Amino acid sequence: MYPVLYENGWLVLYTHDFFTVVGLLAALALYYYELRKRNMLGFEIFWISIAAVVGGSLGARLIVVLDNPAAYFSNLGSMPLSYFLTHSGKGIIGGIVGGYLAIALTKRLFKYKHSTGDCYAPAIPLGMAIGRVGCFFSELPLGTPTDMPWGISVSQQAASQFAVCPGCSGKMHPSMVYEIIFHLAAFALILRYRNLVRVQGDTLKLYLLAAVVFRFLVEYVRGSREYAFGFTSAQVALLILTVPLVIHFVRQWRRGVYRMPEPPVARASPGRREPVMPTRLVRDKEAGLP
Amino acid sequence: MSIDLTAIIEYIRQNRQTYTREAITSQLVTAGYNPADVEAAWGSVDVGVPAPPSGYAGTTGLSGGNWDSGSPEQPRSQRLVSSPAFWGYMVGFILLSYILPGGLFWLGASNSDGLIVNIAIGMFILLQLGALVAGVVSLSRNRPRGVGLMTGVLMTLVVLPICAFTIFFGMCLASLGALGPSF
Repeated sequence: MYPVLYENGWLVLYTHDFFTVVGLLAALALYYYELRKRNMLGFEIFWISIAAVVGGSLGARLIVVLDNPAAYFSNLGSMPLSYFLTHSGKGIIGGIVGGYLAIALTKRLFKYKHSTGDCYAPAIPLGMAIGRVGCFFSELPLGTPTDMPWGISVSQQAASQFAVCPGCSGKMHPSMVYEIIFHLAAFALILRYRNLVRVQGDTLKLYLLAAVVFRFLVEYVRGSREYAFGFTSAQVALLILTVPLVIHFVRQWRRGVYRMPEPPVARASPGRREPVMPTRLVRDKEAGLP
Repeated sequence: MSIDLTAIIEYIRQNRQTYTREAITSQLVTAGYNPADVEAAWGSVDVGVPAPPSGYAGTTGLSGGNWDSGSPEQPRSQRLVSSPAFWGYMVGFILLSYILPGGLFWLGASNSDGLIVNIAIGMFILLQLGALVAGVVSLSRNRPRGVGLMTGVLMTLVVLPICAFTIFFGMCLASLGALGPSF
Protein backbone atom coordinates (compact mmCIF):
# COMPACT_ATOMS: atom_id res chain seq x y z
CA MET A 1 0.00 0.00 0.00
CA TYR A 2 1.33 3.40 -0.99
CA PRO A 3 -0.51 6.43 0.45
CA VAL A 4 2.29 8.67 -0.90
CA LEU A 5 3.20 8.04 -4.51
CA TYR A 6 6.18 10.41 -4.74
CA GLU A 7 7.99 12.60 -2.25
CA ASN A 8 10.91 14.92 -2.88
CA GLY A 9 11.44 17.73 -0.38
CA TRP A 10 8.40 20.01 -0.44
CA LEU A 11 6.81 18.10 -3.29
CA VAL A 12 4.50 15.35 -2.02
CA LEU A 13 2.30 13.51 -4.49
CA TYR A 14 -0.48 11.62 -2.72
CA THR A 15 -1.66 8.42 -4.38
CA HIS A 16 -5.32 9.27 -3.85
CA ASP A 17 -5.03 12.71 -5.45
CA PHE A 18 -2.96 11.36 -8.33
CA PHE A 19 -5.48 8.67 -9.26
CA THR A 20 -8.40 11.08 -8.80
CA VAL A 21 -6.89 13.47 -11.32
CA VAL A 22 -5.86 10.66 -13.73
CA GLY A 23 -9.39 9.21 -13.52
CA LEU A 24 -10.94 12.60 -14.17
CA LEU A 25 -8.66 13.30 -17.14
CA ALA A 26 -9.25 9.83 -18.63
CA ALA A 27 -13.01 10.30 -18.26
CA LEU A 28 -12.87 13.76 -19.84
CA ALA A 29 -10.76 12.46 -22.75
CA LEU A 30 -13.23 9.64 -23.44
CA TYR A 31 -16.16 12.03 -23.09
CA TYR A 32 -14.51 14.39 -25.60
CA TYR A 33 -14.00 11.46 -27.99
CA GLU A 34 -17.66 10.42 -27.68
CA LEU A 35 -18.86 13.98 -28.33
CA ARG A 36 -16.61 14.28 -31.36
CA LYS A 37 -17.78 10.93 -32.71
CA ARG A 38 -21.40 12.11 -32.49
CA ASN A 39 -20.66 15.55 -33.99
CA MET A 40 -21.90 17.10 -30.77
CA LEU A 41 -18.84 19.16 -29.97
CA GLY A 42 -20.11 22.71 -29.66
CA PHE A 43 -19.58 25.76 -27.50
CA GLU A 44 -22.65 24.98 -25.38
CA ILE A 45 -21.32 21.50 -24.72
CA PHE A 46 -17.97 22.98 -23.73
CA TRP A 47 -19.63 25.03 -20.99
CA ILE A 48 -21.93 22.19 -19.98
CA SER A 49 -18.82 20.02 -19.49
CA ILE A 50 -17.07 22.70 -17.45
CA ALA A 51 -20.19 23.01 -15.31
CA ALA A 52 -20.21 19.23 -14.85
CA VAL A 53 -16.65 19.23 -13.50
CA VAL A 54 -17.25 22.21 -11.21
CA GLY A 55 -20.62 20.87 -10.02
CA GLY A 56 -19.14 17.44 -9.47
CA SER A 57 -16.21 18.70 -7.43
CA LEU A 58 -18.46 20.94 -5.31
CA GLY A 59 -21.03 18.17 -4.87
CA ALA A 60 -18.32 15.77 -3.70
CA ARG A 61 -17.51 18.24 -0.91
CA LEU A 62 -21.06 19.18 -0.01
CA ILE A 63 -22.18 15.59 0.50
CA VAL A 64 -19.64 15.32 3.33
CA VAL A 65 -21.13 18.39 4.99
CA LEU A 66 -24.60 16.85 4.73
CA ASP A 67 -23.19 13.63 6.18
CA ASN A 68 -21.92 15.41 9.27
CA PRO A 69 -23.68 18.79 9.51
CA ALA A 70 -23.17 19.32 13.25
CA ALA A 71 -19.37 19.05 13.00
CA TYR A 72 -19.21 21.53 10.14
CA PHE A 73 -21.76 24.13 11.20
CA SER A 74 -20.55 24.30 14.80
CA ASN A 75 -17.06 25.26 13.52
CA LEU A 76 -18.21 27.53 10.71
CA GLY A 77 -17.40 30.80 12.50
CA SER A 78 -14.11 29.72 14.04
CA MET A 79 -12.35 27.84 11.23
CA PRO A 80 -10.98 29.32 7.99
CA LEU A 81 -12.31 27.85 4.73
CA SER A 82 -8.85 26.54 3.83
CA TYR A 83 -8.88 24.43 7.00
CA PHE A 84 -12.25 22.98 6.07
CA LEU A 85 -10.93 22.08 2.62
CA THR A 86 -7.79 20.36 3.83
CA HIS A 87 -9.36 18.48 6.74
CA SER A 88 -12.65 17.52 5.16
CA GLY A 89 -13.62 14.67 2.85
CA LYS A 90 -14.90 13.99 -0.66
CA GLY A 91 -17.64 11.59 -1.70
CA ILE A 92 -18.19 10.26 -5.21
CA ILE A 93 -21.97 10.03 -4.74
CA GLY A 94 -22.07 13.77 -4.12
CA GLY A 95 -19.77 14.20 -7.11
CA ILE A 96 -22.15 12.43 -9.45
CA VAL A 97 -25.24 14.20 -8.10
CA GLY A 98 -23.50 17.60 -8.24
CA GLY A 99 -22.30 16.95 -11.79
CA TYR A 100 -25.74 15.77 -12.92
CA LEU A 101 -27.51 18.80 -11.45
CA ALA A 102 -24.94 21.16 -12.94
CA ILE A 103 -25.43 19.61 -16.38
CA ALA A 104 -29.22 19.84 -16.11
CA LEU A 105 -29.09 23.50 -15.01
CA THR A 106 -26.58 24.55 -17.65
CA LYS A 107 -28.55 22.79 -20.37
CA ARG A 108 -31.64 24.68 -19.28
CA LEU A 109 -29.64 27.92 -19.28
CA PHE A 110 -28.46 27.34 -22.86
CA LYS A 111 -31.85 25.87 -23.89
CA TYR A 112 -29.86 22.85 -25.06
CA LYS A 113 -32.18 20.00 -26.01
CA HIS A 114 -29.90 17.12 -27.05
CA SER A 115 -29.27 14.28 -24.61
CA THR A 116 -25.63 14.04 -23.57
CA GLY A 117 -25.99 11.08 -21.20
CA ASP A 118 -24.75 8.51 -23.70
CA CYS A 119 -21.47 10.43 -24.05
CA TYR A 120 -20.91 10.26 -20.29
CA ALA A 121 -21.95 6.60 -20.02
CA PRO A 122 -18.57 4.95 -20.74
CA ALA A 123 -16.55 7.84 -19.29
CA ILE A 124 -17.94 7.70 -15.74
CA PRO A 125 -17.19 4.00 -15.00
CA LEU A 126 -13.71 4.39 -16.49
CA GLY A 127 -12.98 7.39 -14.27
CA MET A 128 -14.52 5.68 -11.25
CA ALA A 129 -12.41 2.53 -11.72
CA ILE A 130 -9.19 4.55 -11.96
CA GLY A 131 -10.15 6.75 -9.01
CA ARG A 132 -10.90 3.72 -6.84
CA VAL A 133 -7.38 2.40 -7.50
CA GLY A 134 -6.18 5.49 -5.66
CA CYS A 135 -8.54 4.77 -2.74
CA PHE A 136 -7.28 1.19 -2.57
CA PHE A 137 -3.59 2.08 -2.65
CA SER A 138 -4.06 4.86 -0.12
CA GLU A 139 -4.57 2.16 2.50
CA LEU A 140 -7.99 3.37 3.51
CA PRO A 141 -10.12 1.18 5.76
CA LEU A 142 -11.21 -1.51 3.33
CA GLY A 143 -14.25 -3.20 4.80
CA THR A 144 -15.74 -5.48 7.40
CA PRO A 145 -13.81 -8.55 8.66
CA THR A 146 -13.93 -11.61 6.43
CA ASP A 147 -12.59 -15.16 6.21
CA MET A 148 -12.78 -15.15 2.42
CA PRO A 149 -9.49 -16.05 0.69
CA TRP A 150 -9.39 -12.68 -1.06
CA GLY A 151 -9.57 -10.76 2.22
CA ILE A 152 -6.87 -8.09 2.59
CA SER A 153 -5.18 -6.74 5.71
CA VAL A 154 -3.50 -3.37 6.30
CA SER A 155 -0.26 -2.61 8.11
CA GLN A 156 -0.33 -1.97 11.86
CA GLN A 157 1.01 1.52 11.24
CA ALA A 158 -1.90 2.38 8.93
CA ALA A 159 -4.45 0.71 11.22
CA SER A 160 -3.29 2.77 14.19
CA GLN A 161 -4.19 5.99 12.32
CA PHE A 162 -7.88 5.15 12.06
CA ALA A 163 -10.18 5.87 14.98
CA VAL A 164 -12.83 3.52 13.64
CA CYS A 165 -11.71 0.43 11.76
CA PRO A 166 -13.55 -2.68 12.92
CA GLY A 167 -11.62 -5.08 10.70
CA CYS A 168 -8.12 -3.64 10.89
CA SER A 169 -6.87 -6.43 13.20
CA GLY A 170 -7.37 -9.11 10.55
CA LYS A 171 -8.45 -9.67 6.98
CA MET A 172 -11.10 -7.35 5.52
CA HIS A 173 -13.35 -7.28 2.49
CA PRO A 174 -11.50 -5.37 -0.28
CA SER A 175 -14.57 -3.19 -0.94
CA MET A 176 -12.55 -0.86 -3.19
CA VAL A 177 -11.53 -3.82 -5.35
CA TYR A 178 -15.16 -4.91 -5.63
CA GLU A 179 -16.00 -1.45 -6.92
CA ILE A 180 -13.07 -1.42 -9.35
CA ILE A 181 -14.23 -4.76 -10.79
CA PHE A 182 -17.82 -3.53 -11.04
CA HIS A 183 -16.89 -0.32 -12.85
CA LEU A 184 -14.50 -2.07 -15.24
CA ALA A 185 -17.20 -4.65 -16.04
CA ALA A 186 -19.74 -1.84 -16.53
CA PHE A 187 -17.29 -0.03 -18.82
CA ALA A 188 -16.78 -3.15 -20.95
CA LEU A 189 -20.51 -3.93 -21.09
CA ILE A 190 -21.39 -0.37 -22.08
CA LEU A 191 -18.85 -0.38 -24.90
CA ARG A 192 -20.02 -3.76 -26.14
CA TYR A 193 -23.79 -3.57 -25.77
CA ARG A 194 -24.80 0.11 -25.72
CA ASN A 195 -26.21 -0.15 -29.23
CA LEU A 196 -28.98 -2.32 -27.79
CA VAL A 197 -30.25 0.64 -25.74
CA ARG A 198 -32.52 2.54 -28.10
CA VAL A 199 -33.54 5.57 -26.02
CA GLN A 200 -31.10 8.45 -25.72
CA GLY A 201 -29.62 8.89 -22.28
CA ASP A 202 -30.84 5.55 -21.02
CA THR A 203 -27.38 3.94 -21.17
CA LEU A 204 -26.18 6.37 -18.51
CA LYS A 205 -29.31 5.97 -16.43
CA LEU A 206 -29.12 2.17 -16.58
CA TYR A 207 -25.49 2.32 -15.50
CA LEU A 208 -26.34 4.73 -12.67
CA LEU A 209 -29.14 2.47 -11.48
CA ALA A 210 -26.84 -0.57 -11.52
CA ALA A 211 -24.09 1.41 -9.77
CA VAL A 212 -26.52 2.64 -7.12
CA VAL A 213 -27.73 -0.91 -6.38
CA PHE A 214 -24.19 -2.30 -6.36
CA ARG A 215 -22.85 0.42 -4.08
CA PHE A 216 -25.83 -0.07 -1.76
CA LEU A 217 -24.84 -3.74 -1.38
CA VAL A 218 -21.13 -2.94 -1.05
CA GLU A 219 -21.95 -0.68 1.89
CA TYR A 220 -22.81 -3.82 3.89
CA VAL A 221 -19.19 -5.03 3.66
CA ARG A 222 -17.56 -1.63 3.75
CA GLY A 223 -17.68 -1.06 7.48
CA SER A 224 -19.13 2.46 7.29
CA ARG A 225 -20.85 3.96 10.30
CA GLU A 226 -24.60 3.54 10.73
CA TYR A 227 -26.44 6.77 9.99
CA ALA A 228 -30.22 6.15 10.28
CA PHE A 229 -32.63 3.18 10.35
CA GLY A 230 -29.73 0.71 10.16
CA PHE A 231 -28.43 2.28 6.95
CA THR A 232 -25.16 4.10 6.38
CA SER A 233 -25.25 7.68 5.12
CA ALA A 234 -24.25 6.49 1.65
CA GLN A 235 -27.13 4.00 1.62
CA VAL A 236 -29.61 6.73 2.58
CA ALA A 237 -28.28 8.92 -0.24
CA LEU A 238 -28.42 5.98 -2.65
CA LEU A 239 -32.03 5.20 -1.72
CA ILE A 240 -32.96 8.82 -2.43
CA LEU A 241 -31.11 8.66 -5.75
CA THR A 242 -32.92 5.50 -6.81
CA VAL A 243 -36.32 7.23 -6.73
CA PRO A 244 -35.85 9.62 -9.71
CA LEU A 245 -34.15 6.89 -11.72
CA VAL A 246 -37.00 4.42 -11.20
CA ILE A 247 -39.58 7.15 -11.86
CA HIS A 248 -37.81 7.94 -15.13
CA PHE A 249 -37.96 4.36 -16.40
CA VAL A 250 -41.59 3.86 -15.30
CA ARG A 251 -42.64 7.14 -16.92
CA GLN A 252 -40.85 6.28 -20.18
CA TRP A 253 -42.47 2.86 -20.21
CA ARG A 254 -45.94 4.28 -19.55
CA ARG A 255 -45.49 6.82 -22.34
CA GLY A 256 -44.69 3.98 -24.72
CA VAL A 257 -41.20 5.29 -25.44
CA TYR A 258 -39.78 1.76 -25.44
CA ARG A 259 -42.00 0.86 -28.41
CA MET A 260 -40.24 2.66 -31.21
CA PRO A 261 -42.50 4.12 -33.95
CA GLU A 262 -42.49 2.29 -37.26
CA PRO A 263 -40.87 4.23 -40.10
CA PRO A 264 -42.87 5.05 -43.24
CA VAL A 265 -42.99 2.29 -45.82
CA ALA A 266 -40.05 2.63 -48.17
CA ARG A 267 -41.19 4.11 -51.50
CA ALA A 268 -39.23 3.14 -54.59
CA SER A 269 -38.15 5.67 -57.19
CA PRO A 270 -37.56 4.80 -60.87
CA GLY A 271 -34.29 2.98 -61.34
CA ARG A 272 -34.14 1.76 -57.76
CA ARG A 273 -34.72 -1.74 -56.46
CA GLU A 274 -37.96 -2.36 -54.58
CA PRO A 275 -37.29 -2.10 -50.86
CA VAL A 276 -37.90 -5.12 -48.75
CA MET A 277 -41.12 -4.78 -46.75
CA PRO A 278 -40.63 -5.48 -43.05
CA THR A 279 -41.92 -8.87 -41.93
CA ARG A 280 -44.39 -7.31 -39.51
CA LEU A 281 -45.97 -5.18 -42.23
CA VAL A 282 -46.26 -8.18 -44.56
CA ARG A 283 -47.91 -10.14 -41.76
CA ASP A 284 -50.31 -7.26 -41.00
CA LYS A 285 -51.17 -6.86 -44.69
CA GLU A 286 -51.90 -10.55 -45.07
CA ALA A 287 -54.09 -10.44 -41.99
CA GLY A 288 -56.00 -7.50 -43.47
CA LEU A 289 -54.89 -5.11 -40.74
CA PRO A 290 -54.60 -1.39 -41.57
CA MET B 1 -29.90 4.77 -57.74
CA SER B 2 -32.17 7.52 -56.44
CA ILE B 3 -34.81 7.89 -53.77
CA ASP B 4 -36.93 10.59 -52.18
CA LEU B 5 -35.22 11.22 -48.85
CA THR B 6 -37.94 13.46 -47.45
CA ALA B 7 -39.75 10.64 -45.67
CA ILE B 8 -36.54 9.39 -44.04
CA ILE B 9 -35.50 12.88 -42.99
CA GLU B 10 -38.93 13.54 -41.49
CA TYR B 11 -38.79 10.25 -39.56
CA ILE B 12 -35.31 11.09 -38.25
CA ARG B 13 -36.38 14.61 -37.24
CA GLN B 14 -39.40 13.27 -35.37
CA ASN B 15 -37.43 10.70 -33.40
CA ARG B 16 -33.88 11.97 -33.00
CA GLN B 17 -34.61 13.74 -29.70
CA THR B 18 -35.75 10.47 -28.14
CA TYR B 19 -33.92 7.61 -29.83
CA THR B 20 -30.26 6.98 -30.56
CA ARG B 21 -28.85 7.35 -34.04
CA GLU B 22 -28.09 3.63 -34.17
CA ALA B 23 -31.67 2.70 -33.20
CA ILE B 24 -33.22 5.00 -35.83
CA THR B 25 -30.80 3.82 -38.52
CA SER B 26 -31.48 0.20 -37.67
CA GLN B 27 -35.24 0.78 -37.75
CA LEU B 28 -35.05 2.43 -41.17
CA VAL B 29 -32.78 -0.24 -42.64
CA THR B 30 -35.09 -2.95 -41.28
CA ALA B 31 -37.97 -1.14 -42.99
CA GLY B 32 -36.21 -1.62 -46.29
CA TYR B 33 -34.31 1.61 -46.84
CA ASN B 34 -30.84 1.60 -48.33
CA PRO B 35 -28.23 2.21 -45.56
CA ALA B 36 -26.43 4.69 -47.80
CA ASP B 37 -29.64 6.70 -48.25
CA VAL B 38 -30.23 6.64 -44.49
CA GLU B 39 -26.71 7.97 -43.93
CA ALA B 40 -27.30 10.68 -46.52
CA ALA B 41 -30.50 11.66 -44.72
CA TRP B 42 -28.62 11.81 -41.41
CA GLY B 43 -26.04 14.07 -43.00
CA SER B 44 -28.78 16.39 -44.14
CA VAL B 45 -30.43 16.47 -40.71
CA ASP B 46 -27.11 16.96 -38.89
CA VAL B 47 -26.04 19.86 -41.03
CA GLY B 48 -29.45 21.47 -40.74
CA VAL B 49 -29.83 22.25 -44.43
CA PRO B 50 -33.20 21.79 -46.10
CA ALA B 51 -34.04 18.30 -47.27
CA PRO B 52 -32.63 17.52 -50.68
CA PRO B 53 -35.15 17.53 -53.49
CA SER B 54 -36.93 14.44 -54.62
CA GLY B 55 -34.73 12.26 -56.74
CA TYR B 56 -31.58 13.26 -54.86
CA ALA B 57 -28.94 10.99 -56.28
CA GLY B 58 -25.86 9.40 -54.88
CA THR B 59 -24.62 8.05 -51.62
CA THR B 60 -21.96 10.65 -50.92
CA GLY B 61 -22.22 14.41 -50.60
CA LEU B 62 -24.04 15.21 -47.42
CA SER B 63 -22.90 12.17 -45.46
CA GLY B 64 -20.39 12.30 -42.59
CA GLY B 65 -17.60 13.37 -44.92
CA ASN B 66 -18.63 17.02 -44.66
CA TRP B 67 -17.98 17.14 -40.95
CA ASP B 68 -14.28 17.82 -40.93
CA SER B 69 -13.08 20.87 -39.11
CA GLY B 70 -14.15 24.14 -40.56
CA SER B 71 -16.62 22.80 -43.10
CA PRO B 72 -18.96 25.60 -44.19
CA GLU B 73 -22.09 23.62 -43.20
CA GLN B 74 -20.87 23.18 -39.64
CA PRO B 75 -22.70 25.40 -37.11
CA ARG B 76 -20.66 28.39 -35.96
CA SER B 77 -20.33 27.27 -32.34
CA GLN B 78 -19.20 23.81 -33.46
CA ARG B 79 -16.55 25.27 -35.77
CA LEU B 80 -15.24 27.37 -32.89
CA VAL B 81 -14.73 24.45 -30.50
CA SER B 82 -13.28 22.31 -33.30
CA SER B 83 -10.78 25.04 -34.10
CA PRO B 84 -7.19 24.30 -32.99
CA ALA B 85 -6.71 28.06 -32.53
CA PHE B 86 -9.37 28.19 -29.79
CA TRP B 87 -7.80 25.32 -27.85
CA GLY B 88 -4.28 26.57 -28.50
CA TYR B 89 -4.97 30.08 -27.18
CA MET B 90 -6.94 28.81 -24.20
CA VAL B 91 -4.54 26.08 -23.05
CA GLY B 92 -1.48 28.19 -23.93
CA PHE B 93 -2.77 31.11 -21.90
CA ILE B 94 -3.63 28.93 -18.90
CA LEU B 95 -0.13 27.41 -18.90
CA LEU B 96 1.49 30.81 -19.33
CA SER B 97 -0.62 32.26 -16.52
CA TYR B 98 0.44 29.61 -14.04
CA ILE B 99 3.97 28.69 -15.08
CA LEU B 100 5.57 32.12 -15.63
CA PRO B 101 4.31 34.01 -12.55
CA GLY B 102 4.34 30.77 -10.54
CA GLY B 103 8.01 30.16 -11.35
CA LEU B 104 8.90 33.73 -10.45
CA PHE B 105 6.89 33.50 -7.24
CA TRP B 106 8.67 30.29 -6.26
CA LEU B 107 12.05 31.86 -7.06
CA GLY B 108 11.26 34.95 -4.96
CA ALA B 109 9.78 32.97 -2.08
CA SER B 110 12.70 30.54 -1.89
CA ASN B 111 15.23 33.44 -1.89
CA SER B 112 13.06 35.57 0.44
CA ASP B 113 13.07 38.28 -2.22
CA GLY B 114 9.89 40.34 -1.80
CA LEU B 115 10.47 42.30 -5.02
CA ILE B 116 10.42 39.17 -7.21
CA VAL B 117 7.30 37.94 -5.40
CA ASN B 118 5.58 41.27 -6.08
CA ILE B 119 6.67 41.18 -9.72
CA ALA B 120 5.20 37.68 -10.01
CA ILE B 121 1.86 38.80 -8.56
CA GLY B 122 1.82 41.91 -10.76
CA MET B 123 2.65 39.82 -13.81
CA PHE B 124 -0.23 37.44 -13.06
CA ILE B 125 -2.71 40.32 -12.77
CA LEU B 126 -1.38 42.01 -15.93
CA LEU B 127 -1.56 38.75 -17.89
CA GLN B 128 -5.22 38.35 -16.99
CA LEU B 129 -6.11 41.95 -17.82
CA GLY B 130 -4.10 41.83 -21.03
CA ALA B 131 -5.77 38.61 -22.17
CA LEU B 132 -9.19 40.02 -21.37
CA VAL B 133 -8.58 43.17 -23.42
CA ALA B 134 -6.92 41.23 -26.26
CA GLY B 135 -9.83 38.79 -26.24
CA VAL B 136 -12.45 41.51 -26.56
CA VAL B 137 -10.46 43.28 -29.30
CA SER B 138 -9.94 40.02 -31.22
CA LEU B 139 -13.58 38.92 -31.12
CA SER B 140 -14.57 40.57 -34.37
CA ARG B 141 -11.34 39.85 -36.25
CA ASN B 142 -10.32 36.42 -34.99
CA ARG B 143 -13.12 34.80 -33.02
CA PRO B 144 -11.26 31.61 -31.95
CA ARG B 145 -8.44 33.74 -30.54
CA GLY B 146 -10.79 36.14 -28.77
CA VAL B 147 -12.99 33.49 -27.24
CA GLY B 148 -9.99 31.28 -26.47
CA LEU B 149 -8.26 34.07 -24.52
CA MET B 150 -11.38 35.09 -22.60
CA THR B 151 -12.19 31.48 -21.77
CA GLY B 152 -8.59 31.07 -20.64
CA VAL B 153 -8.99 33.95 -18.17
CA LEU B 154 -12.19 32.45 -16.78
CA MET B 155 -10.58 29.04 -16.46
CA THR B 156 -7.45 30.46 -14.79
CA LEU B 157 -9.25 32.64 -12.28
CA VAL B 158 -12.41 30.68 -11.47
CA VAL B 159 -12.85 27.16 -12.83
CA LEU B 160 -9.41 25.62 -12.26
CA PRO B 161 -8.89 27.04 -8.74
CA ILE B 162 -12.31 25.69 -7.65
CA CYS B 163 -11.57 22.27 -9.14
CA ALA B 164 -8.03 22.17 -7.76
CA PHE B 165 -9.11 23.10 -4.23
CA THR B 166 -12.02 20.71 -4.14
CA ILE B 167 -10.24 17.79 -5.81
CA PHE B 168 -6.72 17.97 -4.37
CA PHE B 169 -7.15 18.82 -0.73
CA GLY B 170 -8.90 16.72 1.87
CA MET B 171 -9.44 13.00 1.88
CA CYS B 172 -11.68 10.27 0.54
CA LEU B 173 -15.02 9.86 2.28
CA ALA B 174 -14.03 6.27 3.12
CA SER B 175 -11.24 7.47 5.39
CA LEU B 176 -13.45 10.21 6.75
CA GLY B 177 -15.92 7.53 7.81
CA ALA B 178 -13.19 5.98 9.92
CA LEU B 179 -11.66 9.19 11.19
CA GLY B 180 -14.55 11.63 11.33
CA PRO B 181 -13.94 15.27 10.43
CA SER B 182 -10.65 16.22 12.06
CA PHE B 183 -11.71 19.49 13.61
